[in-house]
Amino acid sequence: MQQMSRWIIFTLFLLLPNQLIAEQEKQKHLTLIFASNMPEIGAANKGSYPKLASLLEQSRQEDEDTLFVYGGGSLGPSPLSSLDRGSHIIDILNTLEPDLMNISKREFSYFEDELTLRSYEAAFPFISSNLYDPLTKSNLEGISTNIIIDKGDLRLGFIAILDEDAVQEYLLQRVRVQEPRNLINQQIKQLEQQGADLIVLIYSQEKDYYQALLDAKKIDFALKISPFVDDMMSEKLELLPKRYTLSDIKTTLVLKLSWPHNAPKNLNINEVNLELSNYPDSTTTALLIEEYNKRLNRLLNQPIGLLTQPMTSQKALVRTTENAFGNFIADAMKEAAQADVAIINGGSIRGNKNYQSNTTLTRGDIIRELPFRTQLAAVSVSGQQLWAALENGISEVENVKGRFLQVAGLSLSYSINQDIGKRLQSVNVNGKALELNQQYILATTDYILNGGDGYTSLAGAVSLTTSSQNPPMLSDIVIRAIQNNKVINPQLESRIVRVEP
Amino acid sequence: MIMSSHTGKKGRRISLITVFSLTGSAILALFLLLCWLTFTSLLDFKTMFNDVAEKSLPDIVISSQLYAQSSRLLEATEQLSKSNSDASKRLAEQQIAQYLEDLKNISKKRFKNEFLDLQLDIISVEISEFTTLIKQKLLINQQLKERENAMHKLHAVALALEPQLQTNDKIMANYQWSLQLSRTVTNASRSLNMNRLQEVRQLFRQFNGDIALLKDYAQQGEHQNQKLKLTNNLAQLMLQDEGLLPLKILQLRIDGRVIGRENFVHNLIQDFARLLEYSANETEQKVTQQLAQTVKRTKTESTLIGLLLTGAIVLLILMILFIQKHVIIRLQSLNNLVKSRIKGDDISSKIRGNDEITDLANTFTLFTQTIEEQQIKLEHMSLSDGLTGIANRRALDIRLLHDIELSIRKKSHVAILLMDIDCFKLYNDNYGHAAGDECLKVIASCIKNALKRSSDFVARYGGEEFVCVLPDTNLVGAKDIAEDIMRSVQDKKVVHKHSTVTDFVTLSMGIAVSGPELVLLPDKLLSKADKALYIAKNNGKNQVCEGNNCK
Repeated sequence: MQQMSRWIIFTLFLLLPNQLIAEQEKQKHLTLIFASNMPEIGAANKGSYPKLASLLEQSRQEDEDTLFVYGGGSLGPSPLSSLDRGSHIIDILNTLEPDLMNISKREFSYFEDELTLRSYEAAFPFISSNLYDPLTKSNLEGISTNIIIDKGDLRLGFIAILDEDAVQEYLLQRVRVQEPRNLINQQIKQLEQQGADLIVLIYSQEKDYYQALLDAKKIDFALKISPFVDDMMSEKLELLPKRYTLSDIKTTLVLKLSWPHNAPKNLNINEVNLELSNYPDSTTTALLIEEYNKRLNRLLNQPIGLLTQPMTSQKALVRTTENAFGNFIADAMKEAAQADVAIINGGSIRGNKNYQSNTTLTRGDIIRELPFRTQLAAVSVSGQQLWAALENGISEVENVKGRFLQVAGLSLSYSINQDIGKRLQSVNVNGKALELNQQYILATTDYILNGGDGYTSLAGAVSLTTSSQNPPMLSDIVIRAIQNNKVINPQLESRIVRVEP
Repeated sequence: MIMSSHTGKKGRRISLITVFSLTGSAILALFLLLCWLTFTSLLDFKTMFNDVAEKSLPDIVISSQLYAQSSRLLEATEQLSKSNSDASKRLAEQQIAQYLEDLKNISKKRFKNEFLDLQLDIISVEISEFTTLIKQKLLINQQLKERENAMHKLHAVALALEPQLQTNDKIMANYQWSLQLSRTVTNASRSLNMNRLQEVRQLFRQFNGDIALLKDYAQQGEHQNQKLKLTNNLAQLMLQDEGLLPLKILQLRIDGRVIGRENFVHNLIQDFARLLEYSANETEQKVTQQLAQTVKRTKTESTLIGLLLTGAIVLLILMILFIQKHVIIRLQSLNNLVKSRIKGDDISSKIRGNDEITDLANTFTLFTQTIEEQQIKLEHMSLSDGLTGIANRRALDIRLLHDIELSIRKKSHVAILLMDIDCFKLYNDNYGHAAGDECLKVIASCIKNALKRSSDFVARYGGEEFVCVLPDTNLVGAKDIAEDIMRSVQDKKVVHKHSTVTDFVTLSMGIAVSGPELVLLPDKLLSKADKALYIAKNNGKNQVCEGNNCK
């Protein structure tokens, strides 16, 4: 009896895997790897391309039907991108062979045309479903509105939605980002007509009607890239059904998709618990990255001056208080433009780094701090406009927004307890109270002048750039200023004072 | 009298030497300052022009050269990236090398350890890497072409098997293989035009299936070995390490990298150009600023020069006015004063002030006073009377003594007549001193004319008194001569309405004689004549008396 039962167990044991295999044969499957937000290729960074590459390699070996969706958010800003506008990311991605890449806001760090150029470098499609370029009267050149990917027997349709605030945040002059509601329905119809089995939505900003679309299985599942760039906030991600979310700290996820044969809508998705750091570095990608790092160092390691006292560019500080480095930048701008005053938004300063005293500053340090290729602009503005601009600068200080300003040539005091738009208490320009009717020469960036970060009051200011030449970039001005000074020790000078009446 | 500084109110002394040396030095200083300012102004301009000409202008010229050269470099880089043959690649390479060399040579002139210099090195390294990439790209393209040709050749060989197969019964089995082969080759050809990696990968996967199928079909019908061999060749051609499909994937990557790298190099050169511009702008700004500063400084200097010049001219005019007023005019008045004094006018005007000219005037006053005093002394020392021109008292004394001594020796007579104009005080009081003087002159000449002999002598005895000394004349002779004189005066009829005697000027006369019988020395003789005159006066005037006898 015992032997018998042993036999039975043995037989069952033998049969079980067979049954499972049979089951599996009926059950179709696909691995989806989703990664994004990896603008930096350096070693100390959150996302790692060499590890992602070996994850992909391994996954592709295990499952022929591996789909790699790249969520974007990587072409900028970074020091190397500030030099090559993201080309190196495309080069690296070309070795990772994504099936598609989503366009996120950061892809516009160097504006529309550079993105189009990148699309020609990429050996994979760029997708964005709600972009409209008046020049082509359709999508931006080089970008597909939607795509169907055939993997094994499955036809997956992808719709990718770009945040509408990209236009304002990245000051896109030409393209428009359309409200996606109608577009999504159109795209779904189109994809269904083309025979898509599953429809996947890639997006970043939540819309109330997404849930309905997911519930109705119009969209089978969604890949979300957290719009929060702030590390602290991205940890508090909500868990929403049928959404798989990436952020600045979680840059990769692996989904195992399975469905019964011929019934892909009965989809089962398992998110694999992934520890990317456990994967080895892929040699090919690591070599490529090493080469890029070598080039980057060659370009950026040039010492330009000595910092004789500690300095910080922590995001939370440059966006809430007067900052010594911010003062230095603003001073350099003021001098370069020979202006009365200078304003720069704290959001332009991206280093998020503490510097010890007696640090030899390199070109790279400044490029890391000022990775956007913003240019110096000199304009004549009225005291009225200047006042309004300053009000805007302190209007969202409690939200740690990039619009918080760093200034030169003026000092201001404000109260956070007052209503927005009435916070400024006093403004002094060169020791004298700001005259609302007087004209001042303001040095700032093209970003702010074009109304970036809500600086709309400066619209219509008369440009004082005399030559038809290219205005210098902010980073160049700061680098030149440090080189000319040789030794710098930026100071806090009570330029921005918070008062509590 | 000229008012002297000693007598006048003494003002604060303003020395002409001080005034002249002060104003003179001031004017001199002003002119020196003017010269210095103009000179430094010119020097300033010269320095600035030199600076502009020697530094800034070449700087700007070099910048623009660098700029032009970097845009040429940009073009050449574009050419390099577009090159599709070794020859065009080589040409572009040569051009780039040339432009880089030129750029380096030009930049050496301008930059000293600036990062633009380094930037240029980086550009040159980047371009050399880029060239290697292009080489790689061309190699892959060539290899792909070779594989493609090999594939088509294989395809042709495979199709060449067809005619033999046609007559065969198992036509289907054979066609199956060749048809599949054609399909496979077409797919592979299609892959060459693909630009998406995943599509090529998809084809890759499909291709694996195709080859398996071909191997199946090859084992049917004729030429099985040949077909199998061709199938294996095709598989190798497509799939091996340097096969068509891996090469295609590599090509896609390299193409992307080439475009990316080209954009990068492009941006790098553009950034370089932008920095050049910025740096040239800095120079330009510096020059403009320098110019503006110089112009501003020159403006202030010009204003200053103008002001100084005006000041100097005003000072000069003031000095001339001062000289006019305080020196020339005063010297003129001093001159007039001196002239008047020479004429003998009594002048009450004076030279005011307290300086060298007043000193001069004072000295002159002192000098004239001394002269006047000496004149008086001289007059005293002379023998003739200044007013009437006849001999004076001193001459009288000498002559009288001489004539008396001579008469003693010759034992002859000497007579004297002492005359006095009657009521002369009244004349003077009523007609004035000048008329009095004139009267004296007329009377003196009357007396003189009345004397006939050359030895007779007349002198003014003092005031309105005259004395005649008559040698070799006794009392009778003396009386005659006295009569003549009286007549002569009467004849002259000099009106004297206030005379107590007549309406005309008359004389009273006393005669005294010294002779051998009674020699009288001058004093006694004059005293005797004076007594006689006294008697004549008391006796009613206008008469001649001798002793007590009057006539």
